[in-house]
Amino acid sequence: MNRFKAIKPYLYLVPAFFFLVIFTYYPIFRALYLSLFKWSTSYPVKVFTGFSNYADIFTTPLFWKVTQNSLIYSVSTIVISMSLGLFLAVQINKRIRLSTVYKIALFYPTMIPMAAASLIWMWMYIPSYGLFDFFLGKLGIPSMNWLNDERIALRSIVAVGVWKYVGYYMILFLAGLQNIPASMVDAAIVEGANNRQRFFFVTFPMISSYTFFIFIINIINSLQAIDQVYIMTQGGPANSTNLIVYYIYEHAFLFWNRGIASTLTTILILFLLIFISFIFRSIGKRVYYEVE
Amino acid sequence: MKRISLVLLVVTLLVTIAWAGGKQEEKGTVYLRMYYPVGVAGSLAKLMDEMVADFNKSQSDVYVESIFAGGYRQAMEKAQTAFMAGKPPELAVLDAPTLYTLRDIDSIIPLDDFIAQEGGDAYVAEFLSAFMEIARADGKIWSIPWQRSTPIFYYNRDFFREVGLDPDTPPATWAELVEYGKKLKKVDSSGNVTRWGVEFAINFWLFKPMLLQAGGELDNEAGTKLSIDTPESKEVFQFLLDMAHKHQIMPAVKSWAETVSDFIAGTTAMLYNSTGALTSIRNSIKYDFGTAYLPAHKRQVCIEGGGNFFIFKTDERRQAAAWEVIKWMTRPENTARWSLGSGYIPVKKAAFDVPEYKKYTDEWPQALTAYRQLSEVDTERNMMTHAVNEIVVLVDTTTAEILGGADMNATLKRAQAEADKILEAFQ
Repeated sequence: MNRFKAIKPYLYLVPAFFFLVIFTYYPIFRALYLSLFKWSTSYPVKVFTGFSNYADIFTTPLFWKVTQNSLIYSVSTIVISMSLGLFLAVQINKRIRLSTVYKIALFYPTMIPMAAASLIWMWMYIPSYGLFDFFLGKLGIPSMNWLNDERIALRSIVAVGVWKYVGYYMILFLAGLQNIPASMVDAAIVEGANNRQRFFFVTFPMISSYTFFIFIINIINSLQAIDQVYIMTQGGPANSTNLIVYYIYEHAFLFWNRGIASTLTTILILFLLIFISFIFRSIGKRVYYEVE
Repeated sequence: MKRISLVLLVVTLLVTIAWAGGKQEEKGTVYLRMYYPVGVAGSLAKLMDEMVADFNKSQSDVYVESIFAGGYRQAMEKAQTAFMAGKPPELAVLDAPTLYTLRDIDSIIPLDDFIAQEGGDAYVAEFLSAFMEIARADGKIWSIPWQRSTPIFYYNRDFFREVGLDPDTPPATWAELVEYGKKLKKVDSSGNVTRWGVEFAINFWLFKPMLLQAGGELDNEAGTKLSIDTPESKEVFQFLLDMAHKHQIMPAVKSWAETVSDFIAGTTAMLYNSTGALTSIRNSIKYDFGTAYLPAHKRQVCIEGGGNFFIFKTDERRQAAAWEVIKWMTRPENTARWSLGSGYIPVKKAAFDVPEYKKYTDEWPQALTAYRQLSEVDTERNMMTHAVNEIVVLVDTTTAEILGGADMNATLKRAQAEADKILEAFQ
């Protein structure tokens, strides 16, 4: 009976562990394994080639373009959505009247599936008679080729990414702001701190754990972006909106080049692992968690 | 109480699963899944589902579930993925040039035995011969034509009249296209274009006929070589660039679907697109419009295109059932019905004599433009190569890059090297 009691906790963990192994660890290691093979429609039986897939990818200009696109996309969405989310949260925190209306209005994009939202945005972006150009036209501004112009297509995709999640980050920031002990804020006012000083020396440090969390979530969300790309531009025009997960998807399920797709996946996983652990060690150390 | 409700829940779950599973294979009825794409504007998914429902009602040996699979690229992705996962759709409509790739992954069966049962060569002769070329490989026939088309030229007759052009004389050459485009283009007071002369989407299927008209070639018969860095190629790209930047009658980069909705909205006076969008355009546009052959250049030539039925390797019973579906769908009255509802060309000669179809084409001769172009003009095979997905993406991306402003010579050189690399394993 004692024996059973000892194993019981582990038994409870088994189902969760089971799913973790099947859907997380096994795919990671399989991707690592397959990245060492050439396996595609040209090589229907997989052939061991060591690291030649990696060499292949690192010498493909398109891979670097995709990496550049993904970094631009991530940095843009992170910077814009976090600052906008924080700004909105601070504003809503001040006004208690109608705050629920604002919260709902800003949060609802999170609840719409990205694929459905992308379809609607695609219609809004149509030149000349899409929603945006229609109103811009009334103001006398020439119609922009939002999704077809290589130079602005990526920015159009960034706009969708920001719009989708800014409400979510705002709600999280709001929770953080409302958790700041009033005594601290009062003390700062008493000491004569103005609005700016209050924000940078009291508010911002106190919500740093929320900020850190949102930052990590944001990195993950932005590097996983594929829905908008798949629906709105399919990586075009001329690969200007080709983001890393879409690039992997193309190789995996359109070209059926499982070797290269696995290699790309492994590269992405390793990058994320190293990057996130670096973030945790550097900025993570300076995050303030509430002390009881 | 809690235990009873738990037991009830589990029992309900099991019953539902058993019922759902059982529904699929009633005694004797073969259950098939058919993936199909809609690659042109129009509510064709609805029409396809209606026709499949009629097939199901007409007999009880075979039950087909028609599954809309997006555009041609998505349908191919879905079919390949299902096949790789071990559960291919029994039947699929896919872009005809996917033949070599489908054979490379060994996913489809040749149809010669089935055809022999129907009368062999006599049966094949029932179909329009121009559509059969792309179904042949290694002396066998691998697919049956279904939604077949040629690119055609659409033009807005009201706008023609407005600028003093004869609405019954569309441009017949590239030079005339430019001339007409200049007259039709409209600019507002601040210099913004409110109406383009012509729109030409980024798509290999529109690029190939232009290349052929310039005297060039794109893919070889065996699908092992793509020639994209050629003087004729450069001529075509230069012509498109000139229309966009020199004559400014065309927006440089536009997607396939956008060009159709632009034509319907009247923001372009002329359009290159598939005949498959004909019915949809006719139903949506408020202007008087016409259809014509593609403007010619050094050669007058066009290409065929569209989707065919492919039977995937499953088992004898389901393959035979899939053949029954194909036979029914391609009956003259049914292919005529599909053509009426879409604008695609009927695949059998006998379809043109079906009473409803005859009435439709007598009332509206425009409907026959694509068919007449097919018969009267040199028509070549669609672009078909191995690794078709990579090659299509390559050609479309190259076109987008050049029209987006990249250096033509460098881009074509790179594209050619890439094409050679992709096809190297298939030499």
